[in-house]
Amino acid sequence: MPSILDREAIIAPRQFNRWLIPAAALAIHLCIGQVYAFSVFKIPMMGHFDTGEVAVGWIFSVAIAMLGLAAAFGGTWVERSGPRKSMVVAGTFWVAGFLVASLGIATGQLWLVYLGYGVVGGIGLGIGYISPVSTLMKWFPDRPGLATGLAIMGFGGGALIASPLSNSLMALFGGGTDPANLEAGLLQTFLTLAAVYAVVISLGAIVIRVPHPDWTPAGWDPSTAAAKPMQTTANVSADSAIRTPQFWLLWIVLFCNVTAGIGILENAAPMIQDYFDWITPAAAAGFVGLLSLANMAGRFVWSATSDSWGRKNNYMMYLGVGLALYLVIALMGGANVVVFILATMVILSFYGGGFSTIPAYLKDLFGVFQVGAIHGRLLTAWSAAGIAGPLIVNSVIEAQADSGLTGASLYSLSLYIMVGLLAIGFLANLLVRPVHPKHHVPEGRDREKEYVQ
Amino acid sequence: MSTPNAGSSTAGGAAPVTREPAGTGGAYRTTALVLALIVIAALAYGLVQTALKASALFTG
Repeated sequence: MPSILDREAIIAPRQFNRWLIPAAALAIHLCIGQVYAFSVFKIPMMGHFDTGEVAVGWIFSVAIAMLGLAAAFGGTWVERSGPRKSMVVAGTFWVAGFLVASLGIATGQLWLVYLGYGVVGGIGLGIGYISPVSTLMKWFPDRPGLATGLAIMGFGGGALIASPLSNSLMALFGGGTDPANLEAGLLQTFLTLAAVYAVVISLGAIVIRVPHPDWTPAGWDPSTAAAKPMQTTANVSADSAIRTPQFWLLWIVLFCNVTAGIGILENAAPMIQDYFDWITPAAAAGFVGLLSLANMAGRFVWSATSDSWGRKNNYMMYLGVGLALYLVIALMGGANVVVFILATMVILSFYGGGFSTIPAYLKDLFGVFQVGAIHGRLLTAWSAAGIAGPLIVNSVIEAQADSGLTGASLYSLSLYIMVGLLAIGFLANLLVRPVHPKHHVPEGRDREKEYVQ
Repeated sequence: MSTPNAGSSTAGGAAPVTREPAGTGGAYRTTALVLALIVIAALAYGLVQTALKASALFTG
């Protein structure tokens, strides 16, 4: 007898409005996307724990590292258990992470925040990130790019919501907007966010459904997908996928695209002020906001367009045009502020698009059978880029500053390194070919495994 | 619930699933719509707040 959390308990009837599902997927991504807004807690936490920026910064780094690990090791379980159980488990970890971190804030123990938000919450991040993605692709086999764009746009949107919301909550509970007030409101803000996320993720888990095995979208002919050379109708298991060159080529593609995006994101505010000395700190913060919007829009728009342009072509654009735009910034970025802003916005939209198009690319190459598990393993590229990107950019800028350079010249070398990385990613994408049939799961076994546990 | 996007049965292929489909009645639809409203409102809040912040680039 399956429980209400099992995949078998949430099979939709044959006649079902699939447009009810994206809200459920967005619900969890909007909640866990809060992690990208963690910086709003930096200064209040530095004051509360009487510690430095690096010590507080580690909370975010641990969470992102755990995201990659949990997605890689938990992907197969997520695929086997179905979206509801994995959303409930992800939500439980995510909310428990906030509660343990709250205990750390209440008792002044920073290690409890590392353990809670970083480790426990990070596990929730990894499982939550992949849990609705493959389900959405199964609901939108005719438009998988649109489906993954919808879900992963939520991750970008989560930060847009959590950043102003957390600031408002800290000011409300702390009685003002001064740093001391924000610090005083930390504990109640964490508890409030935990409660909000528990409710929203629970609603998402209630609403989520998997399609009936006999269901196909009205008017969609699966044979049209079979006619496209880069879209397979066969399936590859997660264990086999990591033994194919295609998996590792896409790993390199994602790593290069994310590292390059971080090159801008990591230093956006100081960068625009170094390029144009008349830009005020408030205007620089506005520039960061503009980049966040470009990042979120790119997640949806580029992924949706990949359904008609083809995933490989989209990555050619992300990496090729991105490379050209990096060169534009390096060679003449300081000459015109409009060119600088437009170029960085497009680069950030490609950064977002790279995240949201990759699950659909994986589906094209490996089929939908265990795409969630394969996606989870590929996300280790994100973790690696999260470490490599800031390390490259910050150490190069520091070395340039030590050698006496100032202004735009501080960034030139790191921009050229990013150009090189994007060129490597471009070549890797160029080499992607359909997966050899020897890796395919025998027909029938994939269906059997998916629906009869 | 039948809608323009509702799916259809395929003719071929025996379904290995024997369990009844999950309930999608009135309570389900209400919950789904409430969730959709929460998601849309939250996204609108985030977008407006960020757009206001971004406007400082041109005014600040």
